[in-house]
This record gives sequence, structure tokens and C-alpha cells, in this order.
Amino acid sequence: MRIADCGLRIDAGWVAGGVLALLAAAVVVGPYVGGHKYSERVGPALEAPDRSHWLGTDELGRDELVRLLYAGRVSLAVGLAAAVAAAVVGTGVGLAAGTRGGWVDVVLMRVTDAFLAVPALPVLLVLAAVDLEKPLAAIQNALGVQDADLPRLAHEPWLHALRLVGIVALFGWMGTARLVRAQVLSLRQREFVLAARALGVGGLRICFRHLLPHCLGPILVATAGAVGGNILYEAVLGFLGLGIPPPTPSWGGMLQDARVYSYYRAPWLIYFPGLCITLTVFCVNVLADRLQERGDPTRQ
Amino acid sequence: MLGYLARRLLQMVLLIVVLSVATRALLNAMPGDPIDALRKSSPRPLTREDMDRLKHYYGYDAPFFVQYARWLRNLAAGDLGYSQTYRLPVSELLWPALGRTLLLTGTAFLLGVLLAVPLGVRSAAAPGSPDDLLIRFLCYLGISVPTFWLCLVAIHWFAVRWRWLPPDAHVPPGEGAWYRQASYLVLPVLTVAVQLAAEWTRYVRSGLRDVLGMGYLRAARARGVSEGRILWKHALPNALVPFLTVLGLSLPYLVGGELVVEMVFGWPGLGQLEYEAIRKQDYNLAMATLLLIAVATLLGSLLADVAHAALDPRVRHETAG
Repeated sequence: MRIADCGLRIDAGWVAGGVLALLAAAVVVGPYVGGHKYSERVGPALEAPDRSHWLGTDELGRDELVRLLYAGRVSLAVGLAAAVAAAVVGTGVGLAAGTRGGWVDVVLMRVTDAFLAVPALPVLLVLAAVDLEKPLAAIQNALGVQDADLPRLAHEPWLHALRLVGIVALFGWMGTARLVRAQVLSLRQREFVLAARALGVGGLRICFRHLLPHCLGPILVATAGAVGGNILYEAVLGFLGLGIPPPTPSWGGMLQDARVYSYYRAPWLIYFPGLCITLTVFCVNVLADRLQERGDPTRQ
Repeated sequence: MLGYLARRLLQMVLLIVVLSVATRALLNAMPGDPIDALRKSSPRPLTREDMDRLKHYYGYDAPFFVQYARWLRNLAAGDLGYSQTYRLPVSELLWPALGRTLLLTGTAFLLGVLLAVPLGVRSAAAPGSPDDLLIRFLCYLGISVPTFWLCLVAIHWFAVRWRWLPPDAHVPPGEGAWYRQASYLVLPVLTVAVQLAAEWTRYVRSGLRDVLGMGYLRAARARGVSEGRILWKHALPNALVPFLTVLGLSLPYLVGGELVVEMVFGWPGLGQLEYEAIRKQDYNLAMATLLLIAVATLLGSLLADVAHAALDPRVRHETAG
């Protein structure tokens, strides 16, 4: 999409990419510059934005801007990591189904269909509620280490972030799997693959050196397209109280708190996290669509 | 076609069995069990013997597959079981909640289609025009806004600041005229409809763009058929065929409801019922709601495929084979 009438012919993809880069830089660097921690009380609760706290304070007197930036880290990281994880799983499944064929193909594709048919949100709810302490304790017992205290890890924010990545990726890999399988099926009979096979190149090498490079373009497009949806999922889980547990902030969780406290006393708290989510997802979507149009010459 | 249908239905049944086992296993994997939840909500302290007796009475002390087999046997007899949290048979909760959800999502669906088709046509008819750019921008915005935030913003403006509409969908019992009752649903329906329309407009637009370049339209234009007639009578029906698939795939959403919208507005639909059931580990209720939504998902994709085959002869030949 070109913004045609402004005379400059700015590509919307570049604008979106620039905004995203700024956002990423802000959430990575910002918390170091701000000087406050996300759980630190810096003043009275629900104060309006002013010089010292640019976006005011939340219902516990914590700096809203600092919390927004920390929450942005989680959102961006989970959105991106889940998309990458889904791409890896999907590519693996698609390659295996496409190159092996036969019953492997049938089983993998039925599993893919099953995942497409499962209503995602309820399963996400159940998964997000599963207690991590028990499995971690089981792992510790299995390994036989007594001094590591693995169950305590269940309360670490990064482990919850990792769990979120897994949960979101669990329902994100099917598209890539189908895409890669279709691509492999059409490539498998092409001359360069037949030539490689005739020369005695092994199955795995054909798979990764000859077939995979041809699939990378579509995989990239599908992965970029998934990031926006992932960020929205992470926000919904946070809003439902199933994301990163407090006091670690998340945009969805901050909206849930604002909803309870701030309609009348501090309505701006309802706007900041939502605007952050919308701006991020908007830019990701524009960028992903531009990528897709670039990759598909019939659509330019 | 019949063979194809039979094969699809068989796959569906198998999938549902697998799904129900997986769901039940996941529910069991959650910390605690329904009796623990019962103890937390009990006004009198329950002794250990009470709890054991209750566990035995409800069959939660049995091995997993025995529990599952019992549930399946009851299901086959048409008995969905009893909800512990609501102290009512599941069927008495399920169907009214489904009705309320269908009222909300169904209205929003209709409104969404009514918005998406004209907007998509307008956008596709004049690519690059200011209208097209505006519509596309709004669509991007619509699919990028988190639903629950849209609800919060809508409540803040329409209910808190301007006081035009009630802030939640909880209709008080004594509310009189039907339009007063309907006013409680305006905000939830609008928020859902706007988002659906944003998503669907994109499909209508891209479907129409694909069709508009085709030869039969140029032939119609050469015969002197008016532009409006070409757009609405000749191009749109063909462009809407893939859109039907999208609508079919949205069926689970129609049935399952938009959980966050129901939550924010306090509308007691199926989404909320399911969410509460999972949180409170009300196994019977959770299984019933989850399965209902799974069946709707599978039926939706089947319906979409069948409708697609019925409308598009090229697809029909593929499914016949």
C-alpha cells in the first residue's frame, strides 16, 4: 500500500517497520533510563500524568510508563518467540510429512487438522491454569538432584513467559506445516531434486539443503503474519489473569486492573496499555502484509 | 458426494472422541479436583471423611479411564451430568446460555456481514481511492485492536461519560419495555460486529479483486452492462464464494461466544459459563461446553466445505473423487 497522494511515495511498510524498531528500542532501553523498577511505589495512587511521572501512576502508586515499557518487553518477546517456535515446529512437521509421504504424512496431517479443529481459547485457559510446581518436582525427583529446588522456579517470571510462548505457539504451527508440505510436494518431483537423488544425495541432505531453502520465503511471510495475533493472544491471557503473574506487568493485565479501578478516577489508565497493544499489532500487521505483497508478484 | 460426507462425518466423530479424552485429561491435570473446589466454597468446614465420601460418591477416586468411560456412558444416555458449582443439571445451564450467546453473536454476525459486504465492494471497486485507503486503514485498525480494550473504551465513552447506554449487559429483572432491554445489548453487539466487519471486509475486498480482472466481466462490459450491475450482479456472487468458507469457519465463534466481551459486559453466555466451569473445575459442565464448541467448529468447517462444493462446480469435482 503506497500512500499515494502525499507526493513523497512513502511505503507504509517502512513506516510500520520504523515505528516497531522505535518501540523495540524503547522497551529494551527504556527501563534502564527510567530509574524506577516496575514494582516500586513512586507516589500516591492514580495520579494524573505530570512532569515527574509522564503517564501518571497506577492503582498502587507505581509509575505507569515504567510498567508499560516492562510489559512491552514481555509482549514483544512472547509474540516473536511464539511465532518463531511455531515456525520451527510447523516447518519440521511439514518437511517430514512432505518428504516421507505414506502413513507419516497421513498421521501428521490428521494431527494438524485436529489442532485446527480444537477451539483454542478454552484449551489455552486449561493449559495456563496447570500448576507448574508438580511437574517440576517430578523432574527433580527423576533427575535425583536434591539441592536444585526446581519447584521454586515455578514462580520465576521468565518461566511463565516461556510457558506463554509454548501455549501461544501450540496453536500457531498448523498453517506453516500445511504450507511447507504443499511446497515440498510440488518441489519433490522437480529436476534439481531428482538430480540430487540420482547423484546419491541422502534424504536428510535433500531435505535441508535442497528443499528447505525454497520454503523459507513463504515461511517468513507466515511467521511475520502470526506475530500480531500472538501479541493479541498474550494480551487476552493477561487480561484474563492467566499471563505473567503480578507484580510483573503485562499490557493485558494492566488493562484488567485499570478496568476495576479507573473508569471514574483515572480513565487514562484504560487508554495507555490498549494504545500500546493496538499500535504494536497494527504495525506488525502492516509490515507482514507488505512482506506478503512483496513475495507475491501477482498482488503488486 | 455421499461417500465424501460419510467419510467427513466419521472423521468428525473420531476427532471428537480424541478431543474429549484430551480435554478430560487436561482438566484432571489441573491442580486440585472438584471436591477441593467444593470445600473452598462450603460454608461449613468439611472433614477428611466427608471429602473422601464425596469423592467416592462422584467417582473422582476412580482411575482416569474409568471416570471417562462413565462420562461417555451417561452421555450416550443423553445425560450430561450435574454441575457442582451451580447445583443444577448441566443441560439446564447449557441451553439457556447457548441461547443468550447466539442472541449476542448472531446479531453481531448479521450486522458484521451487512457492514462488510458494502464496505468491501466499495473498497474493491476503486482501489487506491481515498475511500479505499480509509476503509483499508480502518480494517487494519479493527483487526489490531484487542477486543476487550475496544469494550473498555466503548464503555468509557458511551456509558460512563455520555451515559447513553448501560455499562453492562446485565438486564435487571424488572426492566420493562423490549427496547429498554435491548439497549443493554447494544454495546456488546456493536463491539463484536465492528471487529467481525473489519476482518470480513478484507476477505470481501480481496475476493472481489481476484474476480474483477476476469474475462467474463470484460465481456459483460463490452456488451454494455452498467458498472453497478457488473459489480453487484456479475462479480459479487462469485467473489462471495470463498467468503462463505470464512463465515463457516466462524461458526465456532458464533456458538462459543466471545469470552472477553461476555466477561467485560457481564453477559451470562456460553463463553463465560465455560470459563467459570474450567476455573472452578466443574468437570461435567466444562466437558459439555467444550464439546459443544468443538462440535460447532467441526460442523462449521464441514458446512463451509459442502456449501463451497455446492456453489462452485470446480470444487465439487474434487470432493466427488
